[in-house]
Amino acid sequence: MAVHLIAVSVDRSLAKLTAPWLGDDVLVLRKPAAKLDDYVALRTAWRNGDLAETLTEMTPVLEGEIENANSALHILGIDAFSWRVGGLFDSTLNADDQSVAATLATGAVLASEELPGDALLLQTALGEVRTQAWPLGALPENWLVADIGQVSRWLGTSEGSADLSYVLATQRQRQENWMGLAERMLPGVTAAAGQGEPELAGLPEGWTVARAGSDNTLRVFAGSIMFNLAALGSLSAVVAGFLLYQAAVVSFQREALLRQRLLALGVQRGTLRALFLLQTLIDGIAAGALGLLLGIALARVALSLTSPDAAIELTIDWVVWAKALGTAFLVSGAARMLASRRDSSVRKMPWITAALALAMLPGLFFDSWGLLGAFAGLLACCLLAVLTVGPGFVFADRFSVSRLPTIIQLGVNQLLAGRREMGAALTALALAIATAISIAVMVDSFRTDLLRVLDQRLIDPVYIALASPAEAEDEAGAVLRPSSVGRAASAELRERIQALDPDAVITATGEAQARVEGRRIDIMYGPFDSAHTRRYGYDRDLADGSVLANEQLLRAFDLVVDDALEVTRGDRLQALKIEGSFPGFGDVHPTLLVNVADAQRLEIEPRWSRFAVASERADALLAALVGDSRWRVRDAIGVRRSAEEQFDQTFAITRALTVLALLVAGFGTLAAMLALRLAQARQLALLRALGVSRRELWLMEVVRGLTLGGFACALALPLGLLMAWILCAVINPRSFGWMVSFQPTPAMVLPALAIGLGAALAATLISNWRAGHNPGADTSALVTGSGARGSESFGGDS
Amino acid sequence: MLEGFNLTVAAGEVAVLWGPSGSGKSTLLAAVAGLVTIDSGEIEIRRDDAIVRVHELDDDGCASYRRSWLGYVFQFFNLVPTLSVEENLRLPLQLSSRSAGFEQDHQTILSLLTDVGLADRGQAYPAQLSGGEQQRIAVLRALVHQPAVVLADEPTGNLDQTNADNVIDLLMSRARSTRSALLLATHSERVAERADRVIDMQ
Repeated sequence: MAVHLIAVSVDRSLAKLTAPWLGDDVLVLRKPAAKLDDYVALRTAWRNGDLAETLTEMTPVLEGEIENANSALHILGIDAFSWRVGGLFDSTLNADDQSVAATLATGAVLASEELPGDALLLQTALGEVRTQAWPLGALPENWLVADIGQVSRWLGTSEGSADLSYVLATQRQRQENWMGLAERMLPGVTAAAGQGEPELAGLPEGWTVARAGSDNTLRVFAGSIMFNLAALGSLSAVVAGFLLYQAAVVSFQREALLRQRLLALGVQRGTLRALFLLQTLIDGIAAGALGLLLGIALARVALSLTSPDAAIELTIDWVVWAKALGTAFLVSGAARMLASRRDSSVRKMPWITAALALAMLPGLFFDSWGLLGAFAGLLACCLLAVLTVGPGFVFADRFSVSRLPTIIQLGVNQLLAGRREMGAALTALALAIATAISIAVMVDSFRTDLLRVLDQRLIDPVYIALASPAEAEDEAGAVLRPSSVGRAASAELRERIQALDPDAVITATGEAQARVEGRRIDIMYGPFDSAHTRRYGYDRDLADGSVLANEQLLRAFDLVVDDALEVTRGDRLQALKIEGSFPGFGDVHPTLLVNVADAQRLEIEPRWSRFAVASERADALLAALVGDSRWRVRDAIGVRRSAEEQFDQTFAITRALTVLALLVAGFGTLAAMLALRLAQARQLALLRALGVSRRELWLMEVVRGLTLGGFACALALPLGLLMAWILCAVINPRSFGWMVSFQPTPAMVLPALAIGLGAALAATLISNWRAGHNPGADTSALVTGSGARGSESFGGDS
Repeated sequence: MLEGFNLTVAAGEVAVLWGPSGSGKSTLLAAVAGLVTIDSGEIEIRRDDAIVRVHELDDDGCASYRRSWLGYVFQFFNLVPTLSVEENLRLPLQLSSRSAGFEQDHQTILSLLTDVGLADRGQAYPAQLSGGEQQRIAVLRALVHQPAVVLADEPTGNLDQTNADNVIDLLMSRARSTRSALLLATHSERVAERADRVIDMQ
């Protein structure tokens, strides 16, 4: 529940940054250098029935950037007269149709709430324009919406042949509700599942269609994060399932006699089944409610750890309740159901599990299965590992060394004989340890990669990013967002640096957006000589027409180094050759590094937003430049430290979750050990009667705990390393586009193994302590022959 | 439960406690084994010059006494189910510090098993044995470390006549050969007839 609440919280905060009309069910139709005439032709084709009948709405959009008081604003031009009740913008912006249509038609604009509505002074192609802006809460920050004709004039497109950015279309979605519900229950699942490329029959030549959601890379990125969290969080439900199953087995064993007596007394089987359901329901409600309370508390703690300054808003709606109770009821019910059928149907379970695992395993190898397939493959590996537990017990039993001192032998044998009680606990413990190992290896490998990249890139002592006024007010914001404004600030900055240190070498870069195959990419342009490209692991001058691409871009467009790609920006189309690639940790979009000349060929007017300064007088520069709200100055050490802190904060939740899973597994092991103690109580009494001392019994328990922990670790180590490799080499690329080098070290693995072993040992010793010793009573029962009869009562093998 | 009761059993003597259920036979055995505490009275075990005052022992002392001085045969076999037959027989040797090393113990145990016709069952687990076989192993376990006293509580109560006779033969012959005092509780006249002495608990 904590993971779910955190994921939903992250989703909501990201939703504020993204355009709500770019939903998964919205289609984006594009044509290179499209004009409004092209839109008219497209619309005519739709009206004539030449296009797919499933389209319900179509509207032209012109998107661009416009300046207001030295800040860049996104402006969206839409057709005010095509606004309709319940339509695309009406539903996503949650605005009253009449007022919006009226507002746009009068030439006024809608603006996001933080903008000063009555004092917008826009720098347009027509000169300075003062306009009235009506605040609209649903708009993302720094967004304006106006009529497309107005926007066309402001952006300076020529009369009568206005550029068209794209056409938005909505389509009837029969499965929309199911997908929406699935997304609400398991955040990120739709991003993970992918929806494939849409097809639109009858589309005129030159037009392409894509889902708006897939173009919204920030949401896709966030969806991947959410699904990763949700999937890893779901592992706790699997672990809990094993523990509940084991508890239910013990419970059924205890209640078997009672059930037989009730049946003998005439109670009907249906009544017993109702009783079973009632018990499951009580389990589910209790576990769901308790889990929800703990989840809310944990989510608050985790969010306050990762983003201490952010206001946390956790909404406990019906979805949260339904998920908490539903999960608890389902897991509890399934576990009890399986436990109640420890007969032929359960004997088939390994085969069913193996078949299921083998069916899911290909998900690891086929990229087209997406993130969902990757996690299915991960689960398959876990299931296959789980299947080795039973045969593993048999193998260990057959080949256990009998030359050990008898007390130690007894400890080992007691565990092997208690496989029925311990099998599920061992599985749960092994899964928890394996998860902890995999997370630790992946996170630490990622950290090693990140630090290597930081060392590579931060070769200059001073870094400066121009900040927009809005950013400067937000001191907590650590993101160095590029700005396309502030040419004056840029010039002044250069002058001040040169004045302080005439020998300082300034490397300036700027950023812009373009498209490849209709999808958005980021372009970073600058003087990419060998000194600069070395930061990206490429130590030669970047030739004209050549680019460096981040891993995400290569992956997104299925390219390799030396391939060519065509980049479009407005009317311009430029063919570029990929000279090399670099890891784009943290890059949300596919990114290209290009020389300034190539940027200019794409009609990008160079606007420098970032500066790296190589200077012998770095301290003096830092002291002189810091504190000016027009730019943000950082030293290399500070940037590195900040990146490390952000990384550690980001993964603090993940690490906390793994410790929690280990704790849960530890409690489960404790419960299993208590059950085993109960089953083997008579045997312990017998040993006391034969003269085994308390100290030897303790030794036996320690041996048993260590053996259990050892088995769990032996299973968890290879599984954990395999899971870590999958996280690094399969899930990371499919989630975020970058691959993490798999570089396990003993230091990454040992803590999880030690905690797992410690949990098993602690569980054993606590169970021993809780069970206590009352040898007098137990052994006298042996002598007097009371209690269970014969060695058959000892449980285990017998 | 037991008052004014005096009994001395000599080394190698077979003494049978005979009486109906509830007459205190098992309680007396439990008291001798130190498994129950007596309110008053004394229980002393002597061997050569050594002496153990059972009634004065604490919990650990009782455990130490049982492992070195005592062998116990239960009505319901009570072999350790998680140990093989050989390991069950090795247990008293190790506990009483009479182990002569792994191989030597193995030979001793094999010899004992051969004597009782179970030479091929050394690696079997108790659950794989019949009742008669289990009780024969239980008898060997009680005597393998040559204890001063062997206590047997209804050792044939759970066996058919043939197996019961075999087990009693084995128990009495080995107790006599190892010079262990055998205190055997039973309500079987057939068993009582074969004892050196019968103590009527009625």
